[in-house]
Amino acid sequence: MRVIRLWPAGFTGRVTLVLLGAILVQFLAAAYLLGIGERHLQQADLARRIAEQLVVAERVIGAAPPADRARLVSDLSTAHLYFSLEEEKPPLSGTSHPMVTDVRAEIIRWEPALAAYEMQFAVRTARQVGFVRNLEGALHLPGGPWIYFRTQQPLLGWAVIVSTMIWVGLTAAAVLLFAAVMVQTLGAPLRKLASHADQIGTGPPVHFAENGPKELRRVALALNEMQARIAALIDERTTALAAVGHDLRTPLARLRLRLSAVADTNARAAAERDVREMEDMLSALLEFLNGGEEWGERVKTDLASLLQVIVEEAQDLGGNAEYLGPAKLVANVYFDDLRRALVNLVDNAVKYGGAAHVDAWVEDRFLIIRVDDYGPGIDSEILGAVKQPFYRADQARGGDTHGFGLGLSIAEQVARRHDGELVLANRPEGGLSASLKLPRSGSQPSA
Amino acid sequence: MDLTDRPRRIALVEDDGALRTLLSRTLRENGFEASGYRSGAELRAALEAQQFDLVILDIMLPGTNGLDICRWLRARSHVPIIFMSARGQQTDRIVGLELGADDFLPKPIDPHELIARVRAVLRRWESHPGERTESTGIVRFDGWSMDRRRRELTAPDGSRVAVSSAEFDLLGVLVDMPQRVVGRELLLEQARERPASGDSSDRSIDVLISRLRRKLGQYDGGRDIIKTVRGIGYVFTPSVTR
Repeated sequence: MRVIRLWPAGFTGRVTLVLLGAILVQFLAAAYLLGIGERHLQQADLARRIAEQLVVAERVIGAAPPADRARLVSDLSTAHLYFSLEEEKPPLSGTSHPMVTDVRAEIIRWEPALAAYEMQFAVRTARQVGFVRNLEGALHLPGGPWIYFRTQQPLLGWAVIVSTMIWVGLTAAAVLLFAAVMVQTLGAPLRKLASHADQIGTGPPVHFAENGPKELRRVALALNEMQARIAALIDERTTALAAVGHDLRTPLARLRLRLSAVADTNARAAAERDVREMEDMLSALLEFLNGGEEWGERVKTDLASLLQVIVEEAQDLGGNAEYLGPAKLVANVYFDDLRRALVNLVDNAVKYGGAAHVDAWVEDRFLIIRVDDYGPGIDSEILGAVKQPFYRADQARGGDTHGFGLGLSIAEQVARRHDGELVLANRPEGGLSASLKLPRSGSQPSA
Repeated sequence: MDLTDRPRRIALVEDDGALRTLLSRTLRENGFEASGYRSGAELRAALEAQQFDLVILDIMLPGTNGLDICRWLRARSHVPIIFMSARGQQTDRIVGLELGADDFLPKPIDPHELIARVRAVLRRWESHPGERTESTGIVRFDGWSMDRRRRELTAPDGSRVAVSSAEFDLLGVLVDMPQRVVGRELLLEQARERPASGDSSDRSIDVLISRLRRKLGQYDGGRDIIKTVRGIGYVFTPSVTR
């Protein structure tokens, strides 16, 4: 079953709903108060007319001969009020009603002379439908007859109340519409703020314009300051980490020199490997931390020579590496950065994939350098994650922990610096394929 | 160029005591006469009394840093200078070389690499003592240029050609003795100190030469730059300008 959401998700919807509620309450209150006011006016009006007619009737009866009295009193009847003269006290069929007190008070206030007479009132229901009610009453002349009177028209003028309420309702609807548009307008900077806030942490710092309503200005200011604080915190950590890295190098250098005094050749070789591994880890860490600093310019480079040097160095260390690309391939690159990235890719392939097959070519507007290995590849689920700094795909890559897991992160940094990307894919025939796809910036096909 | 006829005197400025001792020992074990100094002030005092064939400077030093010492040294002498820095970053390297240092070694120092670089710098200095006053350490041959301090090789078409550290030093030895037959032994002496060149036999020299040839050979005439003299060694054929 689908639950209908009554509470809107958006700011504009919510504020509009709140406004709708407020205006509805205001409308109902206005209608009620207008109704009461209208009733009071009508009542007072009625009471005054009754009072005036009663005074006339009393005077007519006092002055006219008894035979003419009944006729004269009846002649006082109007479209609104019916009058008659009764010898006996007329039976008042209506019930007592709070209105009676008000009407009596108003009659006496209007014609104080009437206070001297006995008066009785009742409200009778003329028709059930529509609450049509009439007021009736009688005034007792001293020692004689009663003057009976009854309203001829319904007590309340519904038409007036209804039309008033329609006008109030229309005004309320217009106000609501205007308010909704205003809320929409007010919400615009808030939505803009939200979409800008989404950008935080995905790239360079986002600057929030400190304008608009006071509260939004505060939010913008707070976001700007928060970003500055976070940046400072990261800088602080990076500096500390880099300092640790630098400081570790000196004792490591001592250790390496001290190893030359170790007589046992095997133990010395093993210890030297360990020291070298630690040095490599520190270098990777410092390179990664420095990766944010852009340095140097693009240099026209023979990439084939660079790839060959890297492959040959891997071979000299006993690795299975091979260069399959052209003998000459010139491109404009950040030499040292690219070298670092390629060393990492070739090292990974040799260490985890058993062998590194390196190829390079130009395709459309891209320079592609691909390093294939023959290892188990990487689970497609974590293929995206392995580029994250400090991520180790040990489980997927044979468990031989080496380094901090920064090699691919550095390679990706370098690819980005060249406005390109690092693409990782499992090869259908097995093994991982890591490609640097760099837009050609002045690169030329091999001569 | 035989470096063993007289022990070369090397000044080592390094504030870390243990590292100073160990590096001095490594240098002594390789036939150098090494003296360690803790600061620029100590080095200056020592220079009053004696001369050195080479100065190794740490960049990060208390008081006067290595770059300032380098500037000070360059103002009064052409003594070869090798920088060491734990910061190892490109800015340090470039600034050091701009100030007139001859080589730059990132820390942690690989003792083999240090000895190889010291030998290379000394040999270059002693075979061409006037080099410094004339140029910035860039040598040219057949349109190629070789920046020995930055360790960069540039092809005739202006593109940078990557060579390994061992290949570069080997090319350096050949460039210093152009149009002469260079024996394997001398080349081997350079290559022997390299940790990466494996078996340290004559064959490793041949491997390095063939790798160099392949890279040089991609450009016109590059294949003939290094010629083999069967059974003896190699000849660097182009004339070299500095």
